[in-house]
Amino acid sequence: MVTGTPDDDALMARIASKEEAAFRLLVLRWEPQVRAFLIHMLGSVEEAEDLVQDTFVQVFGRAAGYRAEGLFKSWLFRIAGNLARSRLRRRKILGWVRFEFAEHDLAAHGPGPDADLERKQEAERLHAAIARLPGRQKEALVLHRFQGLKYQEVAVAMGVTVPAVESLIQRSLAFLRTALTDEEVPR
Amino acid sequence: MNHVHDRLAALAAGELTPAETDRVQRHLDECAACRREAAAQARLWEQLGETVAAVAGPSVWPAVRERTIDGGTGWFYGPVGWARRGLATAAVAAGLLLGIMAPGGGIAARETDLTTVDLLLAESSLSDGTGTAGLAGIWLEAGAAGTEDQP
Repeated sequence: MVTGTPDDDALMARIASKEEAAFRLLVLRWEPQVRAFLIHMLGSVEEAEDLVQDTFVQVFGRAAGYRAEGLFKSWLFRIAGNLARSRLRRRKILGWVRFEFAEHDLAAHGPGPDADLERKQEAERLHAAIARLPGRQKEALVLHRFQGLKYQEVAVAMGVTVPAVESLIQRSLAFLRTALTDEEVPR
Repeated sequence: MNHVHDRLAALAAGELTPAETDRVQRHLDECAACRREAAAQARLWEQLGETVAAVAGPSVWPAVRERTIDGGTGWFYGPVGWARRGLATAAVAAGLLLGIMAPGGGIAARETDLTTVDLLLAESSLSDGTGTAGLAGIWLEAGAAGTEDQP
């Protein structure tokens, strides 16, 4: 099926020629996913906003060197991931990250206020556990489960092998289950 | 019996090959422990899907545009950014050399700070086509001002 919307590789070729309309389209197309990824990685909406900008500034600066191989998504998240890791390194301590929960983070899905509250509390616990995940596990899980990247795409984005991605994701799930179970046990 | 705990995430994600999927499914048919593990992982997988951070902020486009299309980083890191960065570095080096060779025995730290800041500010004049002459002019002007402050 032919659509009127150019794919990412085509947009990148036009961005390399400094075509503003192409760059704008690419930014508007990808910024929600990049923002969500960075919020999960950094646990801070404010810091994520800074790095969303930085990510697209780097996309623009590197457009001339981009190779159109149909791997734009991996390439984009590799840039965003590098920026996030760099920011986390600067904080020195990876473990203090706490997910900032904004009201609008949680859409109301449940039928009533009690269900909403319960769902919200569950989501808060889960997000807090995600925030405590070791960096590489978190990156692999977020890229795969939240950003919809296939294992192969995650592998390219993170510069690791597909089995390594599988292992990181498997370990992240084990970590989350342990973290959630530990929270439920009264002390 | 080889358990398949380490393949369950890939199974849930549809990342196994058909042959691997068959093998894991056959094991699950026979192993209650792995079935329980698979069910628990599936619940967590669903939960994760429901808790995606969907933060809708204002678009970053205006800020990104300002930093790229309108100049800013695009000028400094663009296709010929290496040449511009080289030019700026050379200008800094030349300025330092001029300062060291100047009568009065060199540049005090405070003056160096002043002229470096001015030089960085002058990047924008380069992008406007002022060129190295403009930079050198700014440098010498700042250097002269600094010399007057000497006791």
